[in-house]
Amino acid sequence: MDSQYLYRRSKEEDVVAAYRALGVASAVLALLALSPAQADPPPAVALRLLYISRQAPPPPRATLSEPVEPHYGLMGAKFALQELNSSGKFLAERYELLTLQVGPTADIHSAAGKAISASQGLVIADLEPGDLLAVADLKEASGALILDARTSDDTLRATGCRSNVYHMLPSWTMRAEALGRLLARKGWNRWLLLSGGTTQDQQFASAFREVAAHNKAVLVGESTFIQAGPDQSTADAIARLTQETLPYQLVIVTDTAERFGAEVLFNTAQPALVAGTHGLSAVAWDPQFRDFAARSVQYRFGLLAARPMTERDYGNWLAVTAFGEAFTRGRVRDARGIETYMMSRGFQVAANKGMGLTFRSTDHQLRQPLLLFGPRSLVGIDHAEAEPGTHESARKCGEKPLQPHSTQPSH
Amino acid sequence: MTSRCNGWYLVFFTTWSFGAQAGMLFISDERDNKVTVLDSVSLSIIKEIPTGRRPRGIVITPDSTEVLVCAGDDNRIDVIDTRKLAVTRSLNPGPDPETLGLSPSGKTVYIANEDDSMLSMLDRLSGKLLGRIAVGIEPEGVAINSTETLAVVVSESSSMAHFFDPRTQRLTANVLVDSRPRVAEFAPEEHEVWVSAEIGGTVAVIDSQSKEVKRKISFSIPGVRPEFIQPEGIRFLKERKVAFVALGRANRVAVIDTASYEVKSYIEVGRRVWQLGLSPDGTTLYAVNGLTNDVSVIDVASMKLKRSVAVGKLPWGIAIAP
Repeated sequence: MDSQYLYRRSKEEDVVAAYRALGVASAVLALLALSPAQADPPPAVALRLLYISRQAPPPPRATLSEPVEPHYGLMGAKFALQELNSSGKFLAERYELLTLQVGPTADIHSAAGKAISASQGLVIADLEPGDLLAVADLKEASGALILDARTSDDTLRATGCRSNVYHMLPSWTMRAEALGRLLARKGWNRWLLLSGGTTQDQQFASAFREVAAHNKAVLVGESTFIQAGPDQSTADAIARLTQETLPYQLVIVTDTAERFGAEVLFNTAQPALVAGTHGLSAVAWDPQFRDFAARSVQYRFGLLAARPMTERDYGNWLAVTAFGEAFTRGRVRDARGIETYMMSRGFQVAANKGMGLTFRSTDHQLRQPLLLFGPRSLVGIDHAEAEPGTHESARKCGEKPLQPHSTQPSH
Repeated sequence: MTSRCNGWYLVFFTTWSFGAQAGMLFISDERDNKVTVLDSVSLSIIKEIPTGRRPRGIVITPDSTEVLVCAGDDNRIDVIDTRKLAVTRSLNPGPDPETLGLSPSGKTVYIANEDDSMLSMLDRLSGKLLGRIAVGIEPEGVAINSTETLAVVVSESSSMAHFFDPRTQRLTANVLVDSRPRVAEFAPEEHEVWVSAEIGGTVAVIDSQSKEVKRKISFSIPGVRPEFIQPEGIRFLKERKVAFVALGRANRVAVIDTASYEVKSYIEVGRRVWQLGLSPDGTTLYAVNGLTNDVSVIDVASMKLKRSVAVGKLPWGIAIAP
């Protein structure tokens, strides 16, 4: 029962059964496809994409209602592949997805190098920042086009920018700025920053410091949550860390590793809202999102995966979809040809955000509206970074060092 | 309540019996699960008809006796008797009907099953399933020619216009159009099919014979961000060689010369204009605005907005009884 996903639509109550039926139907279709009596041979493969990830234990669950799913990300890529082939059959186009999942502690260099050499160089990287850089810097990857389906790392879009890597999901800075704009409009400008100890937590925290300074919000204090002390619950630790004497309206939480963030709301010392990685979040996708035909996407993903579609699934779905879009419209299939087309005026990828999305040439980031989601509702959609020309400097990928962030809290 | 009902009856009786020019506008209100019926002259509400959940696609039969509305979340089509102004029966169209088309004879209903990637054909009177055709992902707008020999359905997620022969129920061509096509409409002479692409921001003009995109119409409005120009509903005014295209979040209806394909003007309407309806005499255009929950009434002679009328929540489509 733990992993059961409760849908809100009446017909979706039968999703799991439908998925099973689909599986049977797919098996029958597969048999039919193998049958020598089949008249039309399948079309030649138009694009053969390579998905690279690293096996990892499933992330911890904050609640029992969240599904345990070791294939986050991969399902998104498979879903997009299924959709590309559903559409492609009308145009005699076929797509394939090769998957490489290295072991939890394996060296990614040699496996990824071999896999990229044997591929068309069209890579979907469902990797953490360290692994992504390792793959991007491989000699075999110098001619590849890598779509980063997972990271939000700011340095990968600045000093660490690689010419062969493009990013599908929003950066930490984009997320902090989108939230900052909403908070500024609301006038909720007294923040307490509670960050986790990972590099990504600290990057996100730095982004919030800059946003606070820019928006004239007051950081009344900040703490880093490492772990609860002996005989201390996480809730107790949060209460202690939020015993700030100055009043605050909002606790900004940056906990990308799910160590404590889910427990911040209602455990703070002062009555306060929560935003950041938990509470109100700026995201590319949420399983509850239903505008702009997202509802249909959620439904179809549910049929395939029998679970909700996560942001990581969405990043992978978007990466595969972008490759397909470039081939279908640009009629290019090599890495450089696809990259050139993706950066041309003709390219845009429909992403269920009410507008076509394009890449920035400066930092290889996909421009996109950000969804501002509370725990159970869409609070708003931030469009500030969706348009060409906004938030873009003349700096080319990797040219200018990232300015060090101030670590001093402002009062 | 009693007096209010009597008032409705009075309005209805008056307009139906004596108002020579008065017709009825049926507007599907997606989030209210109802169809709002307006008097086309007074623009007052005649009745609000409860329907199944998520009513969107809506058409009227050629003899104006029935209005069919898709209730996607209840997997059915509700049939409204235009004299009783009530749902009197339902059809079973298969899963998630989003929108529908009706053959010119009124005999066959063509349904886009959004979540099912299918086009279903039903006999309107008996409700009998006549056939199903596998099409692209998220099928949407359907159009059928006057001889019922050629039909087209667009698929939103696959970005295609699928042509098929209703007699054989086989696809004859799959035409790639710009991103997220929504509506297909035969031009009056039926030599062309116009397909609006919401995210692509264009209208593809497809040759009905060769099935080739012979022209793409783009839009540019000073002060409106290009990504907000989202073509949706299409209507043709044969006598004046004019087409109207609803432009979604640009909050405007484009007026296009069908001979030159030039955009002649833009008419400002309500927010996120979706579908369009044209009065049978061609004098009035109605634009259904999803986010302002109203219908813009446009005088075709002057191409000017006359007034706006509030309807239900998230109005989607419109059908007009003469």
